[in-house]
Amino acid sequence: MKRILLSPFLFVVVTVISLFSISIPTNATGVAAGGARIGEIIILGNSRTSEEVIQKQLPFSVGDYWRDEYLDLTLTRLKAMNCFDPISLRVITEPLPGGILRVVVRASDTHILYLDPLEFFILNTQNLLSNYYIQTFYNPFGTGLNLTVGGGWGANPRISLGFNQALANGWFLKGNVQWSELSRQFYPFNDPPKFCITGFNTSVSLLRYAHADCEYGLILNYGPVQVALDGAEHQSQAYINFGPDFMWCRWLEGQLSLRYALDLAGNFPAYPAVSAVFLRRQPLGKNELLTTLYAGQMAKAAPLNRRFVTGGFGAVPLRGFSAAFTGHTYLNASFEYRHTFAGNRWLLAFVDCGRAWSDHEKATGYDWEAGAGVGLALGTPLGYPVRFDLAHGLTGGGLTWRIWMDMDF
Amino acid sequence: MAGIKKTVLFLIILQLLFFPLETKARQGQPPGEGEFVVHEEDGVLWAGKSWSTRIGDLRLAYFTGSPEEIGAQMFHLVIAPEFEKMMESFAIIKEQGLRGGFFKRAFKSFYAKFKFIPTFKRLIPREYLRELEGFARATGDPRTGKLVDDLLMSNAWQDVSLVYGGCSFFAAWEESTENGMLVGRNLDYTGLGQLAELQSVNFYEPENGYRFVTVNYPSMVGIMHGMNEKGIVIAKAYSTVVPEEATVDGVPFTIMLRQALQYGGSIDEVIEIIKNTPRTVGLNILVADAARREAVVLEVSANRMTVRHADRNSGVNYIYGANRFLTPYLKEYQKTGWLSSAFREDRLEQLMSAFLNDLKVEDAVRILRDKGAEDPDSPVFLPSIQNYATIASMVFDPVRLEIWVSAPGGFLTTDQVFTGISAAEVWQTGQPPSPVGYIPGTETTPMVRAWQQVMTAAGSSLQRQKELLTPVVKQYPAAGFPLCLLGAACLRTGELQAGLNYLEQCVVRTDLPDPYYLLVAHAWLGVGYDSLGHREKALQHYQAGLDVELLEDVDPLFPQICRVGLRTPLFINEKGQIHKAHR
Repeated sequence: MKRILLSPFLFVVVTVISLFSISIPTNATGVAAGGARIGEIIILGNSRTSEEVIQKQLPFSVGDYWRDEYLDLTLTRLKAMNCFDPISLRVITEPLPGGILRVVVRASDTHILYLDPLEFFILNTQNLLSNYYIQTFYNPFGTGLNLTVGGGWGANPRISLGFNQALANGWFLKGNVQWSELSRQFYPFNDPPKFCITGFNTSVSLLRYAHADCEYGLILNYGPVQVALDGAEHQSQAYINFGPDFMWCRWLEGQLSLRYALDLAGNFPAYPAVSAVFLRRQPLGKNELLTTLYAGQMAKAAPLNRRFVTGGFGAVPLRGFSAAFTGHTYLNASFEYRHTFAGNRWLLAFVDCGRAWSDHEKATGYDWEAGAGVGLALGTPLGYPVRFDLAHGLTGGGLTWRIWMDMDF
Repeated sequence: MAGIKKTVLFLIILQLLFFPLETKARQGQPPGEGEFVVHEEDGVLWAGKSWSTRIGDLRLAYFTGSPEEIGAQMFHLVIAPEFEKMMESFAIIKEQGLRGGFFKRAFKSFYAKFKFIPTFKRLIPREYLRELEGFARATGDPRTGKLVDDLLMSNAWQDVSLVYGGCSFFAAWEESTENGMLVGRNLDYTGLGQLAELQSVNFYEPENGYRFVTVNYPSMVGIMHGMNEKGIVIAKAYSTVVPEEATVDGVPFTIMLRQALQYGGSIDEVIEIIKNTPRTVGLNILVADAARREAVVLEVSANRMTVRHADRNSGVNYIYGANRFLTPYLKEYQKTGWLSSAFREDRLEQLMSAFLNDLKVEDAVRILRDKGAEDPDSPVFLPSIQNYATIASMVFDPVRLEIWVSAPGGFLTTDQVFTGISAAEVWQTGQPPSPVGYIPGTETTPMVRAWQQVMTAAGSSLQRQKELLTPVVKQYPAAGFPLCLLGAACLRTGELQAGLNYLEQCVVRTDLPDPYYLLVAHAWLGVGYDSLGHREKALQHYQAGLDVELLEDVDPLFPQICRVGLRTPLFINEKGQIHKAHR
């Protein structure tokens, strides 16, 4: 019966109807001051970040005519800098005598170790329980540069260094280098596909927030490692991987990534890959229904350690399962209903459904899987809630849970 | 193994969460043996060039030097001589900031330690932190860092707790005054009543910036009002704003005002400082400039600001403010709330007009002492410019650089003697001043005594209210406010019939210049009649309450009682609380 309910036809119909059902897009709340000339710009709250670093990200300057879209674009860019208190970020315009405008940009630097202590406490507790720790140093030099140091221990030790540098006009340069010794296995756990890798993974990406609802960039990744697939001998692998990313946030939010990977060591084949996410938020009175579709495909030639991974509370969620489905193709959908109560409390119910397709000899038996669960989100003084999820796999898996915090919980 | 690891982690987490909880401070510790040698001479305590003394009940102090020295002087000259009393008052502020149950307090402490204090330290100008450090070191407490944090929170508790008291101020200039410019100011906040009795007139001669004078409280680095040597006067009044226009992520407003007074040599310079400060709460800030002979009111929220000028078109040379915004721009961000602002503004307008052309300090004091009615034959005993929450009153003469302060501070202080002091003399000589004059206390006529009794009752327990108000309403049966208060007190203590009688008398026979109290009386009458099962009468009063035309948007409580009462019978329980009646 469950399998019938999870038939691909039903899955496609429900997801498509939910994603593309007609509704009027909600306009962002802005400052209705379009057309007036900007006479003054005031930047407040930046005790560490130099004013020039913020000014470089502003899409306007004194003398320009104010356009309403500047509001969201400025907020998007300042949020992307990830070094200001996200709750008190503000861009407002004020009328001045003579018909000109004053633009006030409120960007408060945070503690060098955390954006918010409660968020830091909850997320790091969870990370520590999962045998790893990541520390971001928020803009220590005041130049718009965030540094990240992380490490893991136990079965999969790793160490990583990263940076995020705000450039100008919405451009950001990000980089990361990580050494890891990783062993991983996938469903089915009784005879799992598995691999072990040891080595480095480095990535550099250049992103631009060109519009408030649009982001694009180019990513370059290089991973020289020793890899052992399914218990075989270690082999050298040195994939260089590059391609563009696109994101947009209109009535249908989306993310599209294109990649081409080439093994410089010459032991593994080259392959292209594409992945996409589409999200639709539908208000139902005070409540909200979120429909998300995840899809990805790569050439079957890609080795096991380079293939997509889905499941669990990961980027392609299948809650109630481990993040242990592997494949060259996947299609997932998530439905989440958020019921709003007074006092910034939400009761959540979600269903995930999807499958991965794999030609790996041990993973050819994958089928459509589903998980469902409930959650509770509680508002916190920092402006976004702490969320507790409890999920159960409907077609297998088990009981899983997670506590986390996110602005878009 | 995994279980042990998780247990250890859990214990670490608990420790992290709760260690910021308040630990008992080592109060009563003798002051530290710093470089300050304090000695007394003719009733004046001296520490180097700084001093503290009294004129009658009025405390005065003079601080000079580096920020650390000024902080230490405040401790040695103001706190140490009355250590126990001062520490009690200090504890009051801390308590106000940390109200709530165990978990709420734990959460507040956690946030204070890891969010608010680091934020304040990042944003507050370094010299004020140095002043706090000087103060903390002077106490001799080895935990200087913790004490600085505590002091910082006590300077910011009004921003953190969003406590909103009332305040009134006015300024008049040029031909409106005898002397060129006068500023009057009442500070209203019941929560600070006990602390207010420890007020001190502090003269500052800092290393940097202008010399200034303020009326302040123990351990406060920030100010709420003051005057500097350039003839700039600053005074603030809260103005409640919608939540998105308030934040803790800024400079505590008292410290912002201190910076503005210390470094603002003109209205424009003060505006620049306030405009470029990350602010926290909604305020009306009066800025008067003796040199320019003008005063303006800066209406500000955490993010927005506009300047309100006097109505130049009608040629008036005065401006005033209470606890609401008056410009259309900031009005959009006003949170609904009632602090009797409209009524006080109305009184200020009437009184300013009456005294114009020759306003003297005595007249300014009369305005500050206003009790809401002109006609002695029909007293209403209303809270007005002076009210039950007024804890400090002062008049600034920025042309002569004089300050006139009521002593000793605390409730009903405005009716006390005002002592005039020349700040110019203090700054020139560095010596304790002789008063330039006195304005006698309010003549205690039977009506004044009755008014004071009503104001005392307004801040008292229900039982005490009944004791204080019963004789007043017998003597003045047409005075509306005491009848309203007494009626509500009787209802809430179970004397339903007596309460209804007083309230009926209030709505039928009295004059209430602020119609808000009429709404209150009707709402209580509705609940009272409902409690007795007289639904028809209750409905009439709920409707009458909603029909009252108010001077301003009010706190939703009483209109809400009337609205709910129209739908569902209400009753007062034995604790004096209003509940819906069970069907």
